[in-house]
Amino acid sequence: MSGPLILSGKRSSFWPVVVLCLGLALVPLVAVLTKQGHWVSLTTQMMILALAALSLDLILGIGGLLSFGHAAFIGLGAYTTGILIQEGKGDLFIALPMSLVVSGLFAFVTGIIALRTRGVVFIMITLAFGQMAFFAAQALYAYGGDDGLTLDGRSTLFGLKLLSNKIVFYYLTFFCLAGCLLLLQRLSRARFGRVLLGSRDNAVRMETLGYDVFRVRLVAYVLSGMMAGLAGFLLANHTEFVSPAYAAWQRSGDLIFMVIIGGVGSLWGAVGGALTYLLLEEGLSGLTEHWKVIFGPLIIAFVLLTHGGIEGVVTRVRDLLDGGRHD
Amino acid sequence: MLSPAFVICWMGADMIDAAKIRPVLQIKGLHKSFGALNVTKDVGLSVNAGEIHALIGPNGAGKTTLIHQIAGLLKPDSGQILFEGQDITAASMPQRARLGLARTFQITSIVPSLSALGNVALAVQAGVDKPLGFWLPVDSDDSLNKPAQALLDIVGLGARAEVIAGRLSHGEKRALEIAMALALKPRAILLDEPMAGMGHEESARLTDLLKSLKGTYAMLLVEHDMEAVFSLADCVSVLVDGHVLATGPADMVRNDPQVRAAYLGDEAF
Amino acid sequence: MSLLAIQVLNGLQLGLLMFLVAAGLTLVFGVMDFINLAHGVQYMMGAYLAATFIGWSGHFVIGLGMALIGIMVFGLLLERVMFRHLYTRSHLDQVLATFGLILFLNQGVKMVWGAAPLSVPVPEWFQGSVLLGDGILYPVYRFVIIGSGLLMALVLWLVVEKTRLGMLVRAGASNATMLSALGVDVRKLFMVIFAFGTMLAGFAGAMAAPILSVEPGMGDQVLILAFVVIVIGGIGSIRGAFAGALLVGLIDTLARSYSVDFMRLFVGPAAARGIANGLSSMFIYLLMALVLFLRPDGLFPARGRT
Repeated sequence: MSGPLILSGKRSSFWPVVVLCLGLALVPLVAVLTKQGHWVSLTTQMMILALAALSLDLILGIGGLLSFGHAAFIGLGAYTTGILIQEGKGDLFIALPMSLVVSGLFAFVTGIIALRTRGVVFIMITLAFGQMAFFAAQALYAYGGDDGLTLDGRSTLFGLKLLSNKIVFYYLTFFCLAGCLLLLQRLSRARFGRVLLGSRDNAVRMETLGYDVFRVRLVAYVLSGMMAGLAGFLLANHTEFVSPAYAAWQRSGDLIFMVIIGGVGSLWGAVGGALTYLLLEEGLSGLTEHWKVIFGPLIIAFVLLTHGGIEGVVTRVRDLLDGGRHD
Repeated sequence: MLSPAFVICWMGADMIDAAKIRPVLQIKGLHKSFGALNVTKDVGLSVNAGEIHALIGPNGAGKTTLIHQIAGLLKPDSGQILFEGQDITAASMPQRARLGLARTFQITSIVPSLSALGNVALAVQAGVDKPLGFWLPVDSDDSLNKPAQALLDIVGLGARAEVIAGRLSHGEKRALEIAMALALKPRAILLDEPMAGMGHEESARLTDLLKSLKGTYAMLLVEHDMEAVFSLADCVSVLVDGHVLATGPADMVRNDPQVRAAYLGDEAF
Repeated sequence: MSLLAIQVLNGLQLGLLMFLVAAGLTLVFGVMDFINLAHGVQYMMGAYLAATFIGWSGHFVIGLGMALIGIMVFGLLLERVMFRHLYTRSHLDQVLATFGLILFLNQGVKMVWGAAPLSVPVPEWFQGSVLLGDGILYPVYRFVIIGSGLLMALVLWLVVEKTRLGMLVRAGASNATMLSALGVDVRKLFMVIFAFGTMLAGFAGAMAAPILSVEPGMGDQVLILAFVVIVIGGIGSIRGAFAGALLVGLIDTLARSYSVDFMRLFVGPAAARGIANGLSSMFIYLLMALVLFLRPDGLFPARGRT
């Protein structure tokens, strides 16, 4: 990675997160009052995407590790959940922990190999591992193979079909997202976060201070994978459908886009990025079915025109803001 | 008067062993080559507690490569590195750091996006009980910040604690590196050209700082600034072409005709 | 035994096509430290241009030649408009921008040529099959692919090993900063390498057009396999790309064919094919993981690269 990404542990992202959470908590109420029921479902989907983007932000933004296979963890979480539901073991307290275990385990094993490499090779290896998960899903012939699998329903809660209620599911997703935001907000400013950040900026230095950079990164990678697995669990339940496409590499690219557009390393930015992505998709696909013909150049223009990427802009703005304070 | 340090600095590894003296850092018969290029040839030297051993030599003599091997960034092909009597030749960089072997880099190596205080606190953090906590905010952690601030005061950066490290001046960054090394509570410090790129005034200040630290830490100092070297070092080794040409007390090395011919020239004096 | 021979030939053919794609990719990575996700769509563009020009001219060789010129112009255009501005950027920027280009081109060809696969006829000269003994027939055209792949590999080897340009490329792959220190016009060198890599990928796409379906997104899978190839072979190393490509081509083909047979022992034919497809694709990635675990720099790391 050239050019330091900025995330100073000093700046608090506490209040934006609180405001964001309060706003999201009120969405169902407003939707019911204004009789816009589809908002609930759309916002649920946005929050799931945001959770996935957030999980990537942990390793990309704070850790500086450009993983191009992050969708694999979503796929693993979704398939674990989907298969358990099909096998009649889809209770929340089985499917959720199992999704976390499976995605975490995959992150652990692939992380051990991928984190031994640097730069371009890391990008390619994560991409290849992502493909491995994609093809594994395709090979699951008994569970739909290529075509994916429509589920019988959502996870139950002690046998009760509570999650089939839109509002209940909304708040489940909401609490997952809020919990992860809180966790990462604390973690990024705690000792662990500072070491991870230090490893992003100067890994050799961290080793000469006595930190085991590999192990720190592996912990972050596994945590990030589990969080994406959680997003997969929610996605399978939300759509009542699982498909290899969840783990496709284009999804990983979309996630990177969300993190970048929201501002690398800014946690609430990941949520904003997911929202922007969904709005772009909705808006552009309303214009033409070939919306990616517009979306692609938008990404290119975004990268080329915001010289140095969005982090360049963020850095410059922050430099301006900081100017008076330090010098 | 001949202090024990001076005696050790002369001795070969076998003599040191026979005399049952234990230097903090001892290197024996170190070899390293890149392909056909031998960059370290049978290097042996020792650094005693509380003394500064300076390593001088022309550019390309293999000084930084040697430091890298001692710190664990490069693996030697053969030979031994002993730290407080313990063989650390195969130990990883983090292991060496945790044993108490700190270093600074020839090219400034800090975490640019953290404040000066944050950098030193990060180094302090490496030595505390739970260095990788997930929950408590690190900014307001006085168990890290207080020792860090004290170290910044020592190196003269006390008033610059809140400045983002990437924006410090070159000299300040060098001082910050030393504060980070000290934060590890090391037994020995490897200093790779700490005065590189400094103005006269800055090097003089750093020389005073190192002088004040002498006696507390064993230091291996690679440096081109001869004024600093001869005012600081108890013992000087001259590295030419990957091998040690001469080792001895500063005055003796300074006047060694072989050394003068091979490296120092006359302009250094 | 004869089945094995056919599968080995198929694997060789896939491997050589992979090599043509991977060679350009590994040079662009090695010399320019530029991560170009859009290399796969250049392969796809080669196939589409070949399909178009062959259909239009009614002649395979003329169509192929026009496609090669077309893809070269296309590559140079991309270099000037977009890639040139990305060389000095972070990998993150490069990944994102070239990802955007993939989205655009995959959708773009869908708009221009439609979503349905195009078929390109096998040229008349190369129709028919060769008898391999035991009554086993093998299509002539596939031999043509193997032959032209080997020829290209030879040309590439000669250029890289025997010419001044090749010397610069090798020097750049092991130490890129040295090039500018030597006073080489790096910008021009990059442009040449880039255009050359694009042409190779386009050639592979064009040659594959008659035996594969030409469709949007056909380059994505090839791109990722090419990544695997150069990671296995060692970034920046042509030799590594060649060895890696043949290894991947052979293993993929053999694993695919034998895992179908193997799975048929347990499940029905349709299911066996479905499962085997996924399994054999996974196999390649497992191979990569294994190689990297044992040799993090790949099998043939470019000399002097750290």
